[in-house]
Amino acid sequence: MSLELIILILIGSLALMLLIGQWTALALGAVGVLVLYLSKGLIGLQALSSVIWNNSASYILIAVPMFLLMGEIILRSGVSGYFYRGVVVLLGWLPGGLLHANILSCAVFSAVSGSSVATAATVGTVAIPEMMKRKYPPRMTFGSLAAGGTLGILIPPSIVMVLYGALVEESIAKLFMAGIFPGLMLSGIFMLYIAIRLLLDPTLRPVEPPRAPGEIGSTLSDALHVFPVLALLVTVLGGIYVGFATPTEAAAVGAAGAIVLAALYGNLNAKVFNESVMSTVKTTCMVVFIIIGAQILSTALTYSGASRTISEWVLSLGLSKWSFFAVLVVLYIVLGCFIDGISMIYMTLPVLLPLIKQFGFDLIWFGIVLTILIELGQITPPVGLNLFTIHAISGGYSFSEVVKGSAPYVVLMLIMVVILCVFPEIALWLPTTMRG
Amino acid sequence: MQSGSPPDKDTSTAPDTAFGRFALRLSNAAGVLAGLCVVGILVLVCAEVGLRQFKRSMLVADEIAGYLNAALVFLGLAYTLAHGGFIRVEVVYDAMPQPLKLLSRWVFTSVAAVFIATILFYAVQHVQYAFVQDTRAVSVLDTPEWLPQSVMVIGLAVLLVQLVAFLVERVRNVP
Repeated sequence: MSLELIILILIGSLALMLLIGQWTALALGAVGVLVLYLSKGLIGLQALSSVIWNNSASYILIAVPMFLLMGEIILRSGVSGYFYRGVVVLLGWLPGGLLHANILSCAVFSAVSGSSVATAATVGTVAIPEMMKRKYPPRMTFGSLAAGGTLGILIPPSIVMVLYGALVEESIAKLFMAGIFPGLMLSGIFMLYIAIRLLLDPTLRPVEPPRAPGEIGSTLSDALHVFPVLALLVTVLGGIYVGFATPTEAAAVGAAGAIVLAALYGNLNAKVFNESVMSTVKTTCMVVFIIIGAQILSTALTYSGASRTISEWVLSLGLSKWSFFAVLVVLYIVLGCFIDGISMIYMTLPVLLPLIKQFGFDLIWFGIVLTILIELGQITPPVGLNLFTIHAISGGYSFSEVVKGSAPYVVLMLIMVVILCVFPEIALWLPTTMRG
Repeated sequence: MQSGSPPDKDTSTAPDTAFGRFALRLSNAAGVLAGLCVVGILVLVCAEVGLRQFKRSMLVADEIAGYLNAALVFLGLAYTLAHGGFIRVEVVYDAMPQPLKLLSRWVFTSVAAVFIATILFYAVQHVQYAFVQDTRAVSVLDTPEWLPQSVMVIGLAVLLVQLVAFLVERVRNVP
């Protein structure tokens, strides 16, 4: 069968499977098996079992369930609520203070929990009623929560980076460190944007002057609740930075720390623990099965020669380094409108990685840029996981209201990508200072 | 659940045939084993970090944790499927009229079953080969490779049973 026809069947069947609602992991794997069979016959399928086994029994991937468990325990034990109240005390005095509190608590919290969806949901359920009561503009409220929740993918520990690092064989510790400054900077850009909007348009300011919730006099103790979660984050990242622990070990220690933290708050019981573990099972299986499905597809692409043909075709276009990069950005923005970040990485990189290397991009730097583009995919319609989450808890506002509120943050993320192109050191400096 | 917890998405409905109930029980049982693997990894890796403070090592923690992770993934597959844990693109599907939705469910559940049956077949061959040839892991434990790899076969088999149960129940209970 000709290669063109195989590529056509591949794209057609994958699009059909995804459109009719096939589970993404199974769509990738099934199309992979089909392409393997069409190009190499039954012999091609012999490779399947090794692909499946090697992608599940990997030491690096152990970090995934451990980071997930850490986040689940923190989320389900209600520690998040305390943390948000603490941030409100610290930032509540600013004009539009609760919007800033949303960005900051989402940034820190999604970093710890590793899930932007869960973070948006958790902070959102506490923040939205509070902010509606104070007459905050709904659009800005939803935007700050949806966009704030994405920051944790960039600020380590980040599961997306673990998966990217495992695929391109770069140091996950270095990727984590490279994400810190861009993550903090993007948070700063979000807060700056909110401040400027409120300054330019006084009608957006909440009518009631923001005050810290809770009893007067309890503010100081409320503010102290910021520290346990921050301490956990610093311990995990610090351990990786000084080389005391591998990312996998730091993840396990972080999960143990989360259990201790939940116990100290008196919120650890069998129900919280069991639900956290079973939820970890579900998310881990979902993530790893997407990887397995995508790796079957990518094996098929390699065996059939489609990968090489596509690479050669792109090279024959004679693009410059940065026009190639611009095409990549557009590709990921479009893909991000429809599919999740992990599928996006594992579907595209096996084909694109040789090209990215050929054009001379630093793989750590590219990982950070890719992570920002994945964040962006979480708040672009029609399929944006954070948009769905915030819409679900918005209390009856329309989906388009959430989309419009999040749109400015898409632009801000693209600005961050441009900044990283001009000043790659923002990402690449910190990893160079690591020991070992 | 605490008020601050994220909403759980569990769209599974109760099976209405004996086979469906059997499949769900099987999936849940395997899911619990997967949960135990999570706890096992946690204890093992933390213990190894702790031992290192005393300049000691179990030497086998990495290897066993890797096997536990594989066991977690495969044993948890059917549980994840049955409880709506696998993501899919729902935008078009949700907009379909009811008959087309039903058709889609038949198509993608059948495709999924065929796909899983195919990889199960090759996984069985793989493990058989490892058993007959007595291939060993290059490690302190010198583990016979068929042992941890059998979990791959068991997990995929349970997943296939769950998918077949969906088909037997005329795709009513597909999450």
